[in-house]
Formats: sequence, C-alpha cells, structure tokens
Amino acid sequence: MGVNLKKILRRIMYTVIFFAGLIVILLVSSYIFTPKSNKGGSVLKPSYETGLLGENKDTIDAVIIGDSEAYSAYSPMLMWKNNGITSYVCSTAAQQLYWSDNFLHEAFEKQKPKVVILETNAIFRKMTYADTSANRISNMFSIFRYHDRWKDMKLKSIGRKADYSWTDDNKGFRCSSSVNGVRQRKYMKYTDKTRPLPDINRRYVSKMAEYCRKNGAELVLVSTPSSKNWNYQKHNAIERLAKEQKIKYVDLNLISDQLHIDWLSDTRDRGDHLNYTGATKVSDFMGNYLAENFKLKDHRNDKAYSKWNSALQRYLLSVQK
Amino acid sequence: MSASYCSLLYLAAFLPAVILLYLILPQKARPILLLAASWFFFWSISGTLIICLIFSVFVIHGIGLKLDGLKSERDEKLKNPGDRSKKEIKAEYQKYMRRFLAIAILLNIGLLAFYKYMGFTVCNINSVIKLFGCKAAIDIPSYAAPIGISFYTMQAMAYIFDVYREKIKADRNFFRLALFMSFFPQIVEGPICRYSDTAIALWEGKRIRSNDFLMGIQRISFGVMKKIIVADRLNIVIGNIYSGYKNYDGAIVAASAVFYALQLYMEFSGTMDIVIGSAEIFGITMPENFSQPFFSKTISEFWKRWHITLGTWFRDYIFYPAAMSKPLKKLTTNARKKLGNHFGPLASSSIALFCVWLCNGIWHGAGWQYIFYGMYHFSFILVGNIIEPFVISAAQKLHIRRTCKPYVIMQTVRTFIIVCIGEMFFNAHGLRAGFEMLGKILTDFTPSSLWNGTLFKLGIDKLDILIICVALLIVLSVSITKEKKISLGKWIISRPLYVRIPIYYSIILFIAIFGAYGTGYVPVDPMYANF
Amino acid sequence: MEKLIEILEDIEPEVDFTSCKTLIDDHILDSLSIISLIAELEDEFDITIPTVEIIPANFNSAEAMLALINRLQEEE
Repeated sequence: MGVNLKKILRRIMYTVIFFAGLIVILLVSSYIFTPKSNKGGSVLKPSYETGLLGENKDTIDAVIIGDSEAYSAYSPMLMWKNNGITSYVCSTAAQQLYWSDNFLHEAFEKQKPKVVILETNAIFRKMTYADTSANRISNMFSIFRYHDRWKDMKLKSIGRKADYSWTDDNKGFRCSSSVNGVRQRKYMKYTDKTRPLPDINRRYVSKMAEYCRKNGAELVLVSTPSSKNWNYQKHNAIERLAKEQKIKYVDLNLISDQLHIDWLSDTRDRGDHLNYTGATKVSDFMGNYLAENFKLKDHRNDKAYSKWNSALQRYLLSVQK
Repeated sequence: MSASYCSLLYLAAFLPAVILLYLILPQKARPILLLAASWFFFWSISGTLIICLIFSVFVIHGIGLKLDGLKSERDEKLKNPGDRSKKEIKAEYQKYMRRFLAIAILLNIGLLAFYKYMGFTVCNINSVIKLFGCKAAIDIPSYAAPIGISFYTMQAMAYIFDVYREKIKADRNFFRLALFMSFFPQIVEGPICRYSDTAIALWEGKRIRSNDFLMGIQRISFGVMKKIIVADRLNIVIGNIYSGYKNYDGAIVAASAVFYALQLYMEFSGTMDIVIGSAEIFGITMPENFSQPFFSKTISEFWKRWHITLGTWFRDYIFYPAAMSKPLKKLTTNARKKLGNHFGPLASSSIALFCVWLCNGIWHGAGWQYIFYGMYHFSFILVGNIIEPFVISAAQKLHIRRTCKPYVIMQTVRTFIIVCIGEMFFNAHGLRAGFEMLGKILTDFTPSSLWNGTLFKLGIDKLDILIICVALLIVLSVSITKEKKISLGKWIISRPLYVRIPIYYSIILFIAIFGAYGTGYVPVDPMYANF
Repeated sequence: MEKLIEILEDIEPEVDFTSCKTLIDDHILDSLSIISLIAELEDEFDITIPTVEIIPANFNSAEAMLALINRLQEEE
C-alpha cells in the first residue's frame, strides 16, 4: 500500500509540474502574441473598439457597448459637437454578452466613465457555457485570442514595448451613408407577451450592472431603433430585466416618431441598421439625454480636451465624403 | 451538448469528468458509470429520442435471447432426432430463426427509415404525383433524427446477424449490450464495432493504465490537430466555392474539390482519432476506420482503407451473403466453366457489389447525389475488375513492371483524382450542381487563377495554405510510419521525460497558435454525424 | 490436400500455397477469388460453406482451409 501511495503521489506531482510548466509557457506566449499596438494590423482588422485604449486617462465620461446596432447609431463626435460630452462606442459586429463584459472591464482600466450604455440587441444573442468558459480562458491566456497574429508577427517586434496610443477619430462609430429604406408598418405593436431570455444572459447583465455600481458608474440599457431586430416582446423582456435589476431602460423604438426616424431614408439595410442620417437623429437625442440625466460636463472649452476638437474637424470632413 | 468531439465541452469537461469518476469508482461500478455517461451524452444531444436507442437495444436483446433459445432447443432435438432426419429439424428451426431475425431487422431498419428517409421518399412521391399532373402533394415531414442512428443501427444488426449465424452467443446482460451499443465515444460517428470487438472489454471496467492513458491522449491530440488546423481552416473557402461555383473557373472548382477531399479525410479521421483515443484511455481497443486511404492504388483498395468498419460491415452482411446465395452460387459455377477464373465469378460478385454500393449510397443519406456517389464508386470498381487481365497482359507486352515506382505513383494519383471527383458530387448542392462543377473543371480550366490571387480572396490566404501544407506533411510522415507498422505514439511514450514533455508542450502550442478557431473562423460540423 | 492445392493454383497461379499463411491478410486472395474458390470447394468436396465461416482465419492458409473442409464434412 505504501509503495502504491507513493506511486500515486509521484504521479500527482508530475501532473502538477506538467500543468505548472504549461501555464508558464502559455503566459509567455500570450505576452508575445498580445498586440504591441492598439491600431490593429492585417490580421486584427483596424479595431475601432480598441481605440478607447489610446484615449487620455480619465477623459471618457460615457461608454456605449453593443453589437452593430450600436456602432451604426451612436456618433460620439456628434455628441461632442452638440453637448461637449466625451463618449466612446465599444461595439463589434454580432457581439456576444461576454465580449460586452470584456469591453466593460477594459473601459475601466484607464477611464472612469460615469455612464455605461448597453445596447439591448446583443442581450438576446444565444451563448453557451462552453462559449463563456472559452472566453474566460482567453482572458487568462490571450494567446487563444490573438493566436492568428502569427501571420503578421515579426521577430523584431517580440521584445518591443507596447504602444497603445492610437486613437480613432470616429470614437468607435462606423459611418454608412448608403440608403436602403423600407416602407414600415408599425413594428412596435403592443403585446403582453415576452421574449424568453436565457438565464445565463440575464446573469451577465446583472454582473455588468453590479460592476458599474462598484466603480461609480451607472449602467443604462438602451434599445436602438431597428425595425427589423426589435419588437414589443423583446421590449417587455428587457423592461422586466431592468426592473428586476433596478437599471434604467430607454427604448428608442417607442419614441422613434419623436426622433423623426424615417425608415425610408434612415436605414442602410431595410430596417436592420441605421445609416448616417438615422445616426444623426439618434445621437442628437442621446447627447441631450446623457447631458441632462447624468450631469456630464461640457468639455468643449477645456484645454485638456483640445484633441477632441481637432478630431471633430477631421471627422466632419470624412463624413462629408 | 453539440455533437462534436472536438469541442471544449467534450475534451475539457465531459471526458475528464468521466475519467476522474472512473478512477475513483470500484471496478464493479465502472461499466455502470460508462453506461450512465453514454446515455447522458446521448440525451444531451438528442433529448428524449434516447428512447429509440433503448428500444433498439431492447429489441436485439430480446430477439438475441430468443434465437439462442431456439438454437439450444434444436441441438436438444438433434441429439434425439427420433424418426425425423437431422436435415428436417435443421430446416424447421432455421425457418423459425429466420422469422425472428426478420422481425429484428424490420424494427431496426424501420426506425432508421422513418427518421432518415421519410423526407426523401415523400419528396420523390410528390414528384411522381406531379408527373401525373396532380397537385395533391404530401407535406414533407421534418423532424430531427436521433444522433448516430445510422451507426448504432449497423451495430445492432451486426449483433443480431452474428447471433443468428452462431458466431457469438446472445448476451443475457441487457446493460452490457446497452453499453456496447451506446458507448459515448463511438455513438455519433462510429467506428461501427462488432460485439466481439468491444462488448466484453467495456463491461470489465479494468483500471486505467498510464500507458493506455498517454497513448489515448496523444491520439486525441493528433486528431484535434487534423481537425482544427486543416479541416476547420478549409471550411470557409470550401463553403464559398461550393455555393458560388458558377462564378469561378475550373481551376478554382478543382482546387475546392481537392480541399473538400482533404477536409473530409482530416475531419473524419481526426474525429476517429479522438474517438479511438478516448476509448483507448479506458483500455478499449476499437477497430480502426482508416488506414492511409490516399496511398491506395485502386478504388477497390481505397474502400478497404477508408471508413473500414462500414466496408467490412457491407462485406460481411451484404456482399458475401448475396454472393453466396443459391442463385448466384449457381451462376458462379456455370459461368466459371465457360468464362474462366477471372470472368466467371465476376458476374455474381458484380451483382453482389451492386447491392453493396446501392446500400452504401443510401446509407450515406437520403438524396440522389448519394445514390449517384455509390454508383460512381461501383462503376470504377467494376471497370477495374473487368479490365484487370487486359491491363496485366498489356503491361507485360510493354515490359512495364507493375510494381515499379512510377507506375505505382501513377495509380495512386489516378485513384486520388477519382476519389476527389466522387467526393465533389458527394458535397455538391444536388446532383445537377455536381455535374456543372465537373463541366467547369473539364472545359473552363484556368490554372493561373490558383496563384494570381483569385483563390486567395475566397477565405484562404497564402499563409493558410502554408500552414495546411506543414500539417499535411506531419500527417503524411505519420502515415508513412504507420504504413511501415511503426507506432510513433509508442516511440514517444518510451522516451525519457525530458524529451517527452517538450514534445507535448510543442504539440499544445502548435495547435493553440495555428488552429483555425476564434473570430473569423467557422468550425466544420461533424460531417458524418448526420449520416 | 493435393486436390485443394490444385484448385487454389487453378484460381490464382504464381502463388506458393503450401507455405503462405497470410493469403487474406496480405490481399493475395481477394473477394473475387474467394467467391470462385468457395463455389469450387463446395462442388469438389460436397459441402456447403455458410457465410459465417468466411473469415480470414479460415482462409489464410491451405491448412486452415483443409481444416474447415474436414470440419464441415463431419457435420454433414
């Protein structure tokens, strides 16, 4: 028995040593594979969402997180122009809630936003426990996230210091001027029915709200106008969630008349996403909403924010094209 | 749970959990654990359809015992034949046994047909109705089939045939039979095991030996490499070309045909590596499903090396019984006298082969392109058989040694091309698309589009091709060692730790860096899970 | 035995059937030759070879075949 026990213990020891070594190797390679710049590259497409990392410390007051609905509808530069508030859109196509959670944490690394807006379309996106655990592993060992960078890594750059100073003039907004309208019947027809929301998604939202509270910010749920993706069942689901979690909720679809959204001219893909004219209307509203409800300061005449004014000039030029 | 073995859920959660419990539990409880884990696995994919699986086990268990009972009754009577001749008694019991065999087959095939071929049948009935100008078409039913039904049905029938033929004794233990049928690594995509292969070993609950464990893990890693470095990396480009083949020239279409053949092999054999490796951890030796198929010199040889357990199943339960049936045997004897040794048996074996390939096509799926796929391979094997003597004599006249390297290479390349074209039809969106793609390859072949950048816009770039080539080289060298009957796995585990550990770390890093996973990639669905 | 070897050589000339023990495993006898072989054996030795007996172990060598034939003749 003694010999046997010894053998088992030795095996356990070997296993532990093996995994310890593996962790070290993964950490080292993660360090090597983590991008040395936040500008992106040929493999990591120009990453608008990582532009936030280049902003000066504690200068962003509002962060908008979500999927393509968010980056098509909210233009931080317009809100700067109208209200002088600094915001950033951390959104990616088909964003999963666990990415949203990643972005939230990333945002608080260098910034102290007072408001975090979570666009609600992504809340319904299906995810599995396997997905979220894979995401957790990638957070620990970023090699799993950036492994594809082998394609454009150079030996020279391996030891180089990271330079995260690139900023995006659009602040995460992606402008589309194309028009592909749709004759819209009323898509927000009242109903009692509720779109079911999986537990795992619900928990992620409450986790994010909790995180914001702890860090002195408020999470707000906002539904962006989209005649294709939104309806009253989804509205009910989010409203209930917001009540449970004591989170503010604004559904712009319900007041799209008030926003003067015209589905014939304000969408680029038949009601799925807004185009630039739609984004202007939504951003005008959102700028006022944020300034009034959260007392966000007007920084337009603050010297420390002069970069925003010059970015605005470039932004306006690029939008005109 | 998704149906893929190459997933985090299976490899990092389910399998380790089962292994851990297996280590802790006493020997007697281990088979129960495996059965519970297998049923849980099945349930997590197909839910309540697990009833179908249990029903199948129930049927073959009951009928197996009945057949065994009839056999012992017959043997009793044969000892005291009384006034009846032995032949009479044998014939009488054979009749009874056949009846029960037929019931078992009908129930099993019936379930399979219900789930897999209903849509296809109704669809074809509809088109016949349309031919007569009526509009009264039947609704095409659509429902999910229990996962792996094509595979476990084959196992069930092999079992019942073997009991009928007295090759094995029927199993009294329902749960042992159930574990043989539903063992979780093999349930989704095979290999199709025989009762004599795995059932007894599965029920023993032997302790996990460290060598088996390491060999299993190594085998699994090899499979994961094939799947996520090659098969998944090719997925997007194949999807693009197959769905939009009309926009590309023949060279691109031909490339996609080669890509698909490679992907199918890497996906299927990679999954088999994971499956067989998983079983190996528990000390279970499963039959191999692949034996370096692309080294085949003829189509007939290809099918002895590709999806082997399916091929041997058809050989044992369709080909020989058909060829040995009375009318065909008579045909063989008569034809042999007139036509000689080569062409004599050819007639009856061709008929038997036709049955095999018809079944093979239908087994792969309900659709005309699968039946075409079966007939395609059948005709190549048939033609190969017919012209073989002429080829031999021609080679002699021309003084070509049929074993010399250039000749063998020519044969291997030719076989590869035939296989690629076959798989192209297999994957094309319908038979018509398959022919159009073939037409493109034959008439509109512009090789330059392979390197002038056209190909690289379709979801694959030069570096992707490079890494695929590296992975293929690794697979090729492993294949060559296997062909020479050297086990690379055994070589690795017999190395000292300071050699072995770096090897393990490099394999893990290689997969982590060069795997086609994460944003921008779409993993292939398990290709054989839906058959 | 001689009769058996004669049959075998008739079907597949150029093979040394007296010594080879891997006729099936090494693909010397393929399914085609097995079919004609079985037809011939059944004729010659007046037996019926059931399908279940068509396994490599029974056909890998001339001796194995002979053993099979003897067994089947006894059972008749």
